Amino acid sequence: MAVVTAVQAQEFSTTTALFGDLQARQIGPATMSGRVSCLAVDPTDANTVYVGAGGGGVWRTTDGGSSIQPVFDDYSQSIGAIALAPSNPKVVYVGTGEPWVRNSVSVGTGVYRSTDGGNRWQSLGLDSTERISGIVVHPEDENVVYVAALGPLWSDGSQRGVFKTTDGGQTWQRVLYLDESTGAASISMDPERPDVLFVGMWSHRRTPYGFDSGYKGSSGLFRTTDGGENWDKLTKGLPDETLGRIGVAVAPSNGEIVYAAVETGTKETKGMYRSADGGESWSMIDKSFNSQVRPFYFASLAVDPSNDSIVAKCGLTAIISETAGRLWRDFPNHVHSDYHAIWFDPADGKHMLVGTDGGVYESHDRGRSFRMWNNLPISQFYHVSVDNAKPYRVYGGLQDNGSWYGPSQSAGGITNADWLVTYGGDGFYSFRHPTKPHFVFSEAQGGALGRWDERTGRSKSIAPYRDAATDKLRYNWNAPIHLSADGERLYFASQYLYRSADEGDSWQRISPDLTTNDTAYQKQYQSGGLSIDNSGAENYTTIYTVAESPLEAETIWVGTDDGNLQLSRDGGENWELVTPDDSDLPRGAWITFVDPSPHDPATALVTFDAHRTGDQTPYLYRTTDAGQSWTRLMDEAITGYALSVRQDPVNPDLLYLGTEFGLYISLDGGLSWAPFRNGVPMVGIRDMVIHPREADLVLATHGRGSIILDDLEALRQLTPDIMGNGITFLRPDTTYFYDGSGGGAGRLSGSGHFFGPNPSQDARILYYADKRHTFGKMYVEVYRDTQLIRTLQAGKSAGLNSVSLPITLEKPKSPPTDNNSARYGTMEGPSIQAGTYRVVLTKGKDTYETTFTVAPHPESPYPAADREAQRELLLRLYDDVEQVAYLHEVLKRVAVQADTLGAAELLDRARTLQAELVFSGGDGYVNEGEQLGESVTQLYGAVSNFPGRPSASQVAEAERLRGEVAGVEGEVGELLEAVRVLNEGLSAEQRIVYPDKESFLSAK
Amino acid sequence: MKHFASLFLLLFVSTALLAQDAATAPSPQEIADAYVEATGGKDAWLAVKSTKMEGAATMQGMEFPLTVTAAEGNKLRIDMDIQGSPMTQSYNGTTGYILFPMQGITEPKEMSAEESADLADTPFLTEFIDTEARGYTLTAVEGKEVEGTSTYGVQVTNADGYDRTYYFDTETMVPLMTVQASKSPQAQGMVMEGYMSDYQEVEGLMVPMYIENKANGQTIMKMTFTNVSINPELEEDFFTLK
Repeated sequence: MAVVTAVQAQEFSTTTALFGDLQARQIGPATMSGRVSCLAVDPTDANTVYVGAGGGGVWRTTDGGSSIQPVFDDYSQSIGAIALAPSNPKVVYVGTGEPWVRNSVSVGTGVYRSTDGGNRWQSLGLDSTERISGIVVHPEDENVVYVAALGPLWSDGSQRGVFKTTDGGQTWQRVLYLDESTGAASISMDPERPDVLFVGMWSHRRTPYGFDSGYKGSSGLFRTTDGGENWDKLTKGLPDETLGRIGVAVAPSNGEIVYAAVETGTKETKGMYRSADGGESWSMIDKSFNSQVRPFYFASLAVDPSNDSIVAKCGLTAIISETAGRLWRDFPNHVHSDYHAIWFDPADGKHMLVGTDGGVYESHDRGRSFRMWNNLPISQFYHVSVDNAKPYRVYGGLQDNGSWYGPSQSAGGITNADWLVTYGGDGFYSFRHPTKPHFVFSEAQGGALGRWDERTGRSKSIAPYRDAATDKLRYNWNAPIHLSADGERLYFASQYLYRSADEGDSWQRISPDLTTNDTAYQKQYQSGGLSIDNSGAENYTTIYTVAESPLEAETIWVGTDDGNLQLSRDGGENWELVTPDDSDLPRGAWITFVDPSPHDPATALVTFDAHRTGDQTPYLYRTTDAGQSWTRLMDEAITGYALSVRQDPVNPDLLYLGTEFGLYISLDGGLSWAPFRNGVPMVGIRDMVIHPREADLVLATHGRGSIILDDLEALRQLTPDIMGNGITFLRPDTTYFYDGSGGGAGRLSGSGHFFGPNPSQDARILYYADKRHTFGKMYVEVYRDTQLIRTLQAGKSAGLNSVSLPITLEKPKSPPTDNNSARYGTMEGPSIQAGTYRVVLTKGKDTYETTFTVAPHPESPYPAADREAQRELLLRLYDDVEQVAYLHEVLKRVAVQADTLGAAELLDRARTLQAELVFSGGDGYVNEGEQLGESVTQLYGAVSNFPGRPSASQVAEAERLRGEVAGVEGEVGELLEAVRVLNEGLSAEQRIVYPDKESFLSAK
Repeated sequence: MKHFASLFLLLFVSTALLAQDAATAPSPQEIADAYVEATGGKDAWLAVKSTKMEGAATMQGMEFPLTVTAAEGNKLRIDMDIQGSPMTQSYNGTTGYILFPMQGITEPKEMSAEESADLADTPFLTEFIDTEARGYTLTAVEGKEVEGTSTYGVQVTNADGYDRTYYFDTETMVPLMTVQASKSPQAQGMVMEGYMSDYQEVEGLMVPMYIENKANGQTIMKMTFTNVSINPELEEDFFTLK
């Protein structure tokens, strides 16, 4: 087994610095939002809210959700708990690792603290706790904190239970611990008696093939009354049987009242309990559906801080009681199902926030109606694909949020309304057919494959069925769909691989069972432990990934969830087990991704994932001989289990790897790797695709929607041989004039809406610099032949730099005006001419040169002749604007000096002409005058705004205005003649002076 | 001779590598002293009573003339010219002012303390001179790679809530970046970063002639200064807009 790393191979090493200022853009969507695992609100200011996402980090708003920003992008994006210190709400604790332990749950890296309201964070350790279910802070002491650590989900581990610090997290003491499989699943503190805490301890375990709530039988409800020194197991009135997950909450206004949601294995005892004596004794208060449903996923409770009889519980739907649990009502069905967090405003109990699998909702009537926050792009993509539309569209399926597609760019930004849904349930793979583009293939969990028809909006169920020769079909939760690039072959897999040549109307089974088919692990129907949870999420011994070689349709790779990597080189006639024979690779590791090389049919990259046995090591392998031998690619820089990988279709040494902790790039064929963090948080990247036409890398992130890295052309040129030369220009593409829409603005829908950014339309100069520029000048000049047309600021970073080149000339020097629209008219210079330009980069004493080319887009509706007509007219108007500006300047100077001299008539003539030229005064809005100057600048603006042929009216108006300008010129000439005459009688010092036009225009 | 040169180079490189080791990182005070020394020395900085920096600001691809004037007493004035219309903000040590006709502020207006918080939060003399006497505390924070260059981090705080972190080039000891949280109501809590480069000598002082400002990681303004005057004559009340 070969293991290759950069150290032994060569000196070059991929580093994050090489990527320079290359930025990815997060296009959302936020329309369906995504799973919120926890909420924290400033107790003194209900507008300051921290939202913890299942996979999308921590978001903060200080204006009640009108605007909201991510504040935790550099750390694990799976959030378990957030707590603000009541005595100083700027002190924020974040526990990473979501505690709602569904099959797809991510993992944390410990506890963090901010002392400035979430701007900056510091790790407080506990970094192997994996999941944090709760944090409580002492009401008077921001440094006394209790952390409920759920601990590892897929393995034993002792980093669980309750941890306490009294020094703000510098040191921790584990104050409650039961055993290696039992974690703290819920914690609640009595704010009046902060040494009194309740904790639900939960014994549980996930395996790739099942879930067991209750597990070793040590679950229980515990209480301390001395700040964690001693703990009592509370039993009186609670079920006397094996317990599962328990959610507990003390009424903040009355420490005697405590509520608990208790999981047992029996319908009669499972449900909501209440204590009226501080936990000493308990009685059951409800066992309705939502009191009992899926305890592992819904165990959070909240009590109204101003009323101990008002309690709400998360569920498939949340429920609320205003009668201490006697009577309950459901929250309305206009809120997304699957609640994980509920908050009551301490100042107004009718004001509530809830966090669900579909984002944050806000109520002002105690949960009777809710409004959604539409600006939280925390959608969890499982997979992603793109189509060939212009602009291309992005497709994907989302955790609990169906299958969607949306544009990669849109006028004014990509909005929620730009996204359309094709299928329901949980969504996974989704593809549009390239030649029958009304078809989109999507699926829901457990193999529910559908073909959506855009013409009608209807879906046809097209999944294959078993036949006499097959076993019952076993589909992974996330069953693989693969569509060949030409759309001719659609693949779908259970434990068998199927292929369709007629868009799924009929199927050919092209494999035997490719899994281990170990029946010991086929017990989904028994999964769940105390509460059977047969959702299909634990279907095992299934095919998890399918990929056809882009070079050879007969070469098909299949990876299973039980460790079988299978290859057929004859279109499915024969299959060979080609799993790497490497002692480092855990047996049974899921094959999460196969990327058959776009350069060589015998080459493939494969990611393996063993985190479901407690091993988070990234496993990435490459074969160049069709699986006969394998090389493991590794680098210490890679963290998080491996989920997806791609080889660049142009530069074979450029590789992209997605792990649970973000995007990694290798520039040297996998020898060395570095995280790419510009716009890509530490989020799970489950799939990625490279758009063949646009050279964009499109990521499916499990918590931050889709993220696009637009500039693979630049990365493709970052090869080891450009290093060490100081500055190296990258080959530029031809830049097209952007004729794009000016539309998209003007939707006055208020704040609170998400807009995904568009790609830059600028012409750009890209260069690689060995070192950051810190001392001396560094700037860029752009020349047309020998004429300097622009001077620009240069990027100073080591690594890749990108300088946007405005493809316009300098704006004209315009006359002063108090007319606002006229002022805006000359904000931009005319477009430069199509053609090739010279770029000179000056760095200190050195200069570096390159060229770039600008051209009309071949598909632009504005042909070259029309563009030229626009440019010509605009340049004429440009001259007229500057002529008016000059005449005005002359008049102004003459007037000032005439005034000093007491030359009343001259002064009067100059002022009169000045007033004919430009408007002054007014209110900048509805009292705006227009003189000749304003007419010229506004016409300039109108012609400049449209890249095609100017209208005949505009041409005629330009002609008329030119005549008027000439008229004023004549009058100014006469005035200057009078000045000349006057000057003759004056001494040299007294004479009226004014600049010539050239010096006026060249002055800044 | 050639032999000596390469030996020297080798020594230099290994020292630079060593310096990046956290265990041997200089103390915040050592960094502060090295920075002040590298940029002109304490006496030269103390002799500066006012500065005027003229240049251009680029925002969203458009360029506007910009002048930044500052003086003892934490006085600051920023003048921009947007198509012949002024955008002026100033702070005279106690009160902030704004004039911005394009936004309807056609006469100078006093700003509230909250509105001028970011203007007021800019000390004239670097905090790294007479640090303690002026009430500032320096704390070492983890350095990070700034635009591909390793740095030392020094956080500067005071009792009034001043809180700015500087990242110093480990080789040259000039700051490459500053980070602070905005205090103004428009951008409250946003992480504001300033990236400095194009350091040039002006009357014996090293001054960054290029500053790029980012808010929450997005570039909002790039400033290039072409002319810097040290101790220019300023009208009385130059920082009070009337």
